[in-house]
Amino acid sequence: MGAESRGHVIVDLRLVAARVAGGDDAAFRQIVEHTRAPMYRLAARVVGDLAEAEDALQEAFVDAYRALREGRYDGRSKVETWLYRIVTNACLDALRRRRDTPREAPAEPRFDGLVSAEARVALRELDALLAALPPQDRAALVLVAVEGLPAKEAAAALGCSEGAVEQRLVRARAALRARQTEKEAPHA
Amino acid sequence: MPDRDDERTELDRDLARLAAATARLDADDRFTEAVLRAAAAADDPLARVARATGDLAPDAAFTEAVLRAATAAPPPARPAMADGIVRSGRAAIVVTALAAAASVLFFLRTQRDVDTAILASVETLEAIE
Repeated sequence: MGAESRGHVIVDLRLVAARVAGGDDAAFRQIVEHTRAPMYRLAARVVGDLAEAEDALQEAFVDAYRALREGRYDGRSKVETWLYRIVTNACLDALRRRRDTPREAPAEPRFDGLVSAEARVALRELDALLAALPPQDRAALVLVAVEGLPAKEAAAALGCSEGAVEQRLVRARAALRARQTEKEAPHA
Repeated sequence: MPDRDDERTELDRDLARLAAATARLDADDRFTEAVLRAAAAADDPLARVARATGDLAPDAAFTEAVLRAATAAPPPARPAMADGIVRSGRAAIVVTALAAAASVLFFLRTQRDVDTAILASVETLEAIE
């Protein structure tokens, strides 16, 4: 049982990451169990589809595992922050794939046993709302307006400057407002 | 059996009692916060989605699937610096060998020319003497 599940012990995932780097595969389980809920939430919100979010998240965790084993995590940032960026990148890849090859029909998620009906409806609404946005703008909006990250952390997750994040937010909000105005305009 | 006026009076009395009992009803500050949050969420679909998806989490089978996927394929070996040298050095080795051969040929040819020139000079000197 992981220490974090006892509730009163704060797990320093940097130490756990060091154990993974040293070849301790079991330590990686601790990282996954500790971070899977916020990362699942992030992926679902950015991608807007549970099945695609699960694929992107699995891909991100596998990338993280390899990076740890190959010594590519330097421990300067928190593991959670580092994972945030990896998951965001995997989600951006998923959105680009979807843009290049539109889905015929949404796939069925496999690990959604804990997801409420309200959350499913909200994700569909979110996906429809953000569908027309470019992946980077969409991700910036989700990170700041839905995940509640400050622009600095959103910039770190997206691998760009804070200024670029602000620009993306302005662009995304303007696009959503224009879309809303179009919907509300009386039909000629 | 009371008539209708008596019933109305009794009803009025009950309503008045209930009105008095509820006259001081008030919500605490949390209510205001909740209303403001709900109003903001109603106005902002993103805030509503954020609230509705706040408890998203995968089930336990997800962890097992991730661990299987991560450990199934061994991590690719890190490219060693020697790999790069070997890969890029193959062409360099051929070019260097050709250059070395050309240099040797040039040296031998030049040496022969020099020898010929010296011999010619010596012969010329001997002829003069």
